[in-house]
Amino acid sequence: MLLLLAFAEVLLWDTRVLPPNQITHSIRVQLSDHRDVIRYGTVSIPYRGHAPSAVNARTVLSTGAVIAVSPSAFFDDGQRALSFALPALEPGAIIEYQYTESYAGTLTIPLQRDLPVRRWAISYPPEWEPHYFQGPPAYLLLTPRSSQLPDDFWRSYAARLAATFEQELAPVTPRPESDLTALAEFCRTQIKNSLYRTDNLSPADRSEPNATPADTLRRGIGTSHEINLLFAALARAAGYSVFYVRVGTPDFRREILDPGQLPNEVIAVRLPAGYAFFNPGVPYLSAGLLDADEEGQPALLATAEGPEFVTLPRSSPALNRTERQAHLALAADGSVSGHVELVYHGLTSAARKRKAESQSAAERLADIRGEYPGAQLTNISLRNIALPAVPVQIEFDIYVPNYADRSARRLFLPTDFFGSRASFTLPPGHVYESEVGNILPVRRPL
Amino acid sequence: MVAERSGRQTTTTRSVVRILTAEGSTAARAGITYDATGARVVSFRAWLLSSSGELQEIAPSDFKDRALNQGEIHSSLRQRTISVPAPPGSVFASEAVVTAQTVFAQFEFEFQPDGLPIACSRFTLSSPPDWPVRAHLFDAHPTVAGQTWTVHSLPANSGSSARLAITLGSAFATWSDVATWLAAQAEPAARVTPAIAARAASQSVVALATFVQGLRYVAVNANANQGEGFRPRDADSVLALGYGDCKDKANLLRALLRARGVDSWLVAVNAADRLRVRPEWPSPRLFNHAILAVSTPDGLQYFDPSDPYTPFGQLPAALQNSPALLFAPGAMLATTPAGDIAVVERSVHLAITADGKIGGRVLESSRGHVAADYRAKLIDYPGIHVRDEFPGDGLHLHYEFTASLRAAGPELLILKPFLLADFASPVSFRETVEITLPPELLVDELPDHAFFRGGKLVLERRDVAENPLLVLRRAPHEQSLHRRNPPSLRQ
Repeated sequence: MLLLLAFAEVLLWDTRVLPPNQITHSIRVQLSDHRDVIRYGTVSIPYRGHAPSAVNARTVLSTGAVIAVSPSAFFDDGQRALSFALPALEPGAIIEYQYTESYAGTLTIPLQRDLPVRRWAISYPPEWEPHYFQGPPAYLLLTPRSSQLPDDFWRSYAARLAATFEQELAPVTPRPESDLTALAEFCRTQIKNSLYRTDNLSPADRSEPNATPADTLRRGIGTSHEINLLFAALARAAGYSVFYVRVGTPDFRREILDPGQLPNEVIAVRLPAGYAFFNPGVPYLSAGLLDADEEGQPALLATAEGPEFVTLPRSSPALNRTERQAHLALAADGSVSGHVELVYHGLTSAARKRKAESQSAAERLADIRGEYPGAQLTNISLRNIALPAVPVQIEFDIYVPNYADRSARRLFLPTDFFGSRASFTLPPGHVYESEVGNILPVRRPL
Repeated sequence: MVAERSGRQTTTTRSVVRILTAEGSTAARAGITYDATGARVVSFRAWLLSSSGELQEIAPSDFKDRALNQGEIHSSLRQRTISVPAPPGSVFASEAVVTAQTVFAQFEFEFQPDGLPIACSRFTLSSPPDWPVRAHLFDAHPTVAGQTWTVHSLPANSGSSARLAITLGSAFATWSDVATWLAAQAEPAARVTPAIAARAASQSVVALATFVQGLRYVAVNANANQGEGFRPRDADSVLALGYGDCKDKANLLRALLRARGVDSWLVAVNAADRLRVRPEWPSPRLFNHAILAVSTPDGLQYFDPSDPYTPFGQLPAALQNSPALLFAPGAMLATTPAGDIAVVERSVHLAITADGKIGGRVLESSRGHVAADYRAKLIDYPGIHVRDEFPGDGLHLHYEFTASLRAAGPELLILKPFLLADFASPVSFRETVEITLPPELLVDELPDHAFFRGGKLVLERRDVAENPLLVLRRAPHEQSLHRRNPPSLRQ
């Protein structure tokens, strides 16, 4: 196994939280060798929103000499990062820099950095409470200390959510279909989602905020939240009890009084056998699925009486299957050629569509080619990549030179043509049917 | 484009794209590149006309503006883009107006920048009537009417290089003019100060080259329209900071060598696309990298101080045989020399056990660009013992490993006797693989000569004591190594 070695280390990372909205970092890094000088001699501080302020940096040489970065040598790209290069670096030097960031609400401090940190000092005022998360990556969450008990906090939060949900859920005219899945698919496929680049969307469809679900239905377009509300309103109109659900991350802790732990939303419908959960606000999902970062996650179901903490169900592997067919001919020189058909269902389809959102047509084709290194792909057909709900289909002709290993008399044909390639990550807990790689010796006539 | 004598250029770019298929929907995009310190985007608008005839102007908030080169610590070159989803049958249009104040009376126009099929691509120049216009066409055959060049009906071509290059007035009439201008940009920065002289004292050329090579590469780009990209920072300041970009490092080495009484010149090259430099159109804007040519008793020695892995005396493979222009008054466009063929000698000693394990030791010595490649790749790999003669040329490595052979059913093990990859570029290559087999295993087949194309494969089977020994030697055919050296710069 190959390991990447880091020789430099952070001697001290001093973080101070200064209410109401500032946090300062002072960092001292020891560079060991020339590689450290190359790698860590330029510092880039990423940011969102406001650029870091009060930035200072200097080099401390092993002789004790101190060389400061001049104020004109700090460069802000105006969007994402503030960068500077430390002067006169040599192995054994120490670089020091400090900066101030602003924050709002709770604070998350990542504890795992590019370099090992020998000592990390984090100071915060007594009115804040720390919560350590082991990760990986490890981080510290700081929240305002509250005298409220967790049960009281979440009860109050759930009641507010339920009240807001009731306010937003103005009645709509019932749809002819009463089946919940059919209603969800109507919302997903017949209402344009203004947040996604699907084929049924054009710039003319720029969404104005919809005041009510009836507006969303009438205009035929809305945000993910508005489409979820429409589904809830239609389900209620069909006679179902519906609930608003906030979905958490795997790190969700009930004792931390921070609603930010619940970043996603779905709609719950009460059925005789329990709750069913829907998220028609994601156009790329197919019927019966929640999104990849929602399946199996802790969630808060809001009722007027308080919260009901639930765990969202996982979908069946069959719904997320990938069908791969290759019809190939083996040539005497060990090459194979033929036709390949791939069909991606469920979350594998959604993952491909999401990735394609930011890609040009050429990049999408390059992606497919990149999945078959060493092969020549022609007549590539990529279908449904920007269509809601339906599976992604890919077809191409392929030629793989030297696919089979050759000796004097035999060709050794690997039968795991598709290998164990897994292009996309599915949520944990799924069961995969894996292919077992094997080699089929094919003997050539002497 | 409207070009004025004052150096002000106003460029209005309009594009209209019809979307034919769903896969083509991402072609509804447009972008402009500008220098934030010397240019202003007056306006940039875009529209989408649906197949039903509805016209929609794209909102300004949908445009993105970002640094062009993300790898630089700072760059004033920026890119503003717009991209919208466009269904088949729709038409996307854009119009951008950019004004720039520039010292360059030269510009290029690509007829097919995105490789999309072109119905019509046109460039129109408006310039003072008494100002000479020198136009050069590359891989393009437009119709010309006055100062308008138009091409029609170009098929899709993602690798299209069809372009028009224009020089206004008398600027840069010859490569000699370009070299003289470049020399004037660089000369003030190469002063020998006391600090430079002290650093250079009693140091050899190779020692100074290696010192500058070891400084960090840090790029800060601003004022490209004013020629700042060709002006190195003062050598004294680069020495104090300990970092710089390619021209800064080349210029620092030049100043250090000057302090030792050795002549040298910065050299402009195009590191990304050597074919972009065409002798017919003299222009500094065709170059994107600076190296150094050092006067030695054997002639000019080219050296890239920004490449940390290629020692003095050699050029990285990407810069060999490339158009090059010295920053020297009166210099002409020349070609960098082709380097010597890289040399690799590999010796592999392996043993196979009865249970299908294989292990052993690999020894390898390399010179030339292969050694440079190894330096770049092996820097972080533990377990590989490296003896590097840098700044000499040789790199020697050895390592040991164990692995499992592949099994084809219960009766057959498959061994690929050549464990390491071949080389893409010409290499003088000698390899010997010795494999000791346990008595329990029989060799059923050996590879034939076709297994190794382009060279010679020698297979031997020897019985040493009780264990059979397979010896495989391979070397490429000599003719595959032959490469004719082009004339050197001095020639």
